[in-house]
Amino acid sequence: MDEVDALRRRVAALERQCAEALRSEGELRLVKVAIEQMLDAVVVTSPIIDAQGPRIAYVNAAFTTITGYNAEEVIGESPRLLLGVTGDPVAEDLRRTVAEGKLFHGEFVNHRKDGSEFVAEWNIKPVRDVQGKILQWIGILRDVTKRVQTENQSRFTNQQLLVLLKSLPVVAYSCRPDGDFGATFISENVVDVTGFSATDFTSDPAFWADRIHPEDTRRVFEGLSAVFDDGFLEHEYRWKVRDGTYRWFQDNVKIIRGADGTAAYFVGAWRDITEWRRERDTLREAESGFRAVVETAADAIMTIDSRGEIVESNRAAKMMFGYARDELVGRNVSILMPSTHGERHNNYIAEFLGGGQPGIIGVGRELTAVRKDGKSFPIHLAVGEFEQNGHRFFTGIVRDITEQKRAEREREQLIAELESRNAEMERFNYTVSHDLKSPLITISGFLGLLERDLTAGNQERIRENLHEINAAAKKMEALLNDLLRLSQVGRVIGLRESVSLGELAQEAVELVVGPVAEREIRVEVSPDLPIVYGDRARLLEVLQNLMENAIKFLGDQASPQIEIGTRQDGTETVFYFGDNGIGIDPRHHEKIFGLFDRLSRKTEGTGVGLPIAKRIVDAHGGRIWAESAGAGQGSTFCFTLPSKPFSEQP
Amino acid sequence: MNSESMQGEPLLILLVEDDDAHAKLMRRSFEEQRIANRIVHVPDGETAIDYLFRRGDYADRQSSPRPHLILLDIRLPGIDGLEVLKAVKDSEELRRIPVVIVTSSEAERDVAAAYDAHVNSYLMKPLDFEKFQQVMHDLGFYWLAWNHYPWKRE
Repeated sequence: MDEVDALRRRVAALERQCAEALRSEGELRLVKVAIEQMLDAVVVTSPIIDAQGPRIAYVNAAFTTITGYNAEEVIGESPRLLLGVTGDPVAEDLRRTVAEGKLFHGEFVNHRKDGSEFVAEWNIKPVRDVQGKILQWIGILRDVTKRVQTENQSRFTNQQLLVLLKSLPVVAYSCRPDGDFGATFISENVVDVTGFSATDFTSDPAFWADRIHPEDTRRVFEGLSAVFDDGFLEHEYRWKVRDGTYRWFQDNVKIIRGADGTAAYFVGAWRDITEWRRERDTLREAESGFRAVVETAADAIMTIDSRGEIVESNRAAKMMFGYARDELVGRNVSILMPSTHGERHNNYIAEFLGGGQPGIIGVGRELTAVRKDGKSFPIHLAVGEFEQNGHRFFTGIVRDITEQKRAEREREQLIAELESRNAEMERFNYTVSHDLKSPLITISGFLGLLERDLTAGNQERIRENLHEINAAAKKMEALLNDLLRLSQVGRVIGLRESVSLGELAQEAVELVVGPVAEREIRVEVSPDLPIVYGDRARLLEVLQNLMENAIKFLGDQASPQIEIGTRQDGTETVFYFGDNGIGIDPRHHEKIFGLFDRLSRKTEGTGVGLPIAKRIVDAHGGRIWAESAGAGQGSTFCFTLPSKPFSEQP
Repeated sequence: MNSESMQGEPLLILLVEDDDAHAKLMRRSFEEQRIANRIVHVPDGETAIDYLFRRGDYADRQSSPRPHLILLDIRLPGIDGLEVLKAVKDSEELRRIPVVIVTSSEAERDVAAAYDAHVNSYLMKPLDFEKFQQVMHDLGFYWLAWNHYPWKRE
């Protein structure tokens, strides 16, 4: 029985061995298939290394794919055939490692069968038996050309990026999205900007935060927390650089989120803007200075574009033209001119743009402008031109010259008045010198003759001479009296009051009641003589003079008549003294109001009555003139008087 | 001493003067100087024109012989002396007649205007009697004795 058991046990053992063997075989087969199917090349070599190296015992299909060599071609050969040039330091390293029986891992250039190169990653491992003796070498070969290329590319790109980052004026960084926002990366140029190296920033998470200006810290952190909502932030703050001074930095921060949407980190660009800020502030100050000049200018200043559209207008412009803040900008400048002017102004612009004569540009001109309420007023306009961004603009400076014009008018009026006074004074002097001299010549002349005649004893002649001398002396006296009267009338008008012209007329008639009766003159006074405004005594003088004058001009006739009345000439009320006397040649109608111009020897007196009347009427603001068809056709003396006080007249 | 024309007839002076006293003075003066001439005196410009152009009251040639000399005052009532002067100098018939202004007016513009209108001479009436006489004397002799006239007597 022991034999059977022993046999059974031996069979069982054999069965187990067989099963083992079968399983191992199966496993082997699987392994073999796996090796065959691998993408990586597998090379198995003999353990013997001679001068050529070990011999290849087996290669898988992937080996052929990678190197181009078939199994038949390489079995029995040294793997060195893959090396193009011996001397590659990695290959030497491999040989040594293998010789020492150690593991090898390395990358170096191999050559394919067709001679092309590729980067090979070798993992070589010795297989030992239980005693440690090397049975084979197994090498795994991988073609990592692409990977190496990519790595190189990436390394190259990285290098480029770093160079770029270094040379940017801006410091680029990435930082943690919380806490002190410590920098995780910062470009090397930060040393040029701050004096601190990149490591200073990245080694201490609080480095950046600690050096923010205390006054700005809160604002900065508040701003950063907002990045989470907005995704980005641009802010400016002071930061202490290496030399201890604070400089202004502009920080553009952007959030980078991970795939799940949470904030992974921040990236940003950091720039020293201290100089820029200084320039900007200087510019701003200058600009606000200029703006203030324009805004506070007393004159209206407006800018219009080449279409005539108002681009800017200062406060004075709005006030002058009566528009509110926004009502001017965008409107065409022609709204500020009365319609005809507006067209003309646009024509100026059109002309100027077309290269025509610069009408207003530079020179300045007086125009009429119109306010928002439609009221016109005179302005002085000066236009300048400038170019900006290829566009043409015009600046208009407008001055309201209403006051100036009024003053001008007043001045002109005053000058005219002065001139006329001067002229009158000249006439006066001229007349006086001549007319006073005449009687003196007479006196002197007849005195001389008198002397002769006295010697000769010619009584008749003597009497005649004395008479002439006497008459001349009287004439002089009369002249001087009239002169006195005339100078006293002057411009001095006494208290003005409401005066009834009708009453005055009656008074004037009374004063000449003698001559009237004597010559049987019929005097008619119109009942509707109105109330006028003026100096009573003076106005009476006027009427008196006209009365006397009328009587004088009656001449010799059967039924002398004088009419005192009023009539309407358009809008004016005219008062008149009409007579049916000798009339006045139209040529002399003005002369008679001149001093001492007598028309005819037939009339008496020195002829100062009418000039006096004229002075008085003129001083009241009225006019006086004579109307007569001519000789023998009577005459009418007319005058106007203001019905209102002078100051109340429009 | 008589002054006569080349033909031996007395010369005629037209005196245009509104001041009667002055006219008298001048007449007397000419008499004293025995500048024996005929003097026609008119008191204003209009009458002077009527006379010279033989109009109105003076239409009759006989009553208005051509003067050889016109003595003219500038300041006249109505038409003034300057207008008369211009009328004379504008007229083809009359412009050869010498016109002498005798006036009290010294005004420069009067003198200038008179010369612009081709006055032949401009004299001032002096205040001094002796001087007045002298002027009248010289006036007479110069214009009536010395000066030559272009026309034959008509």
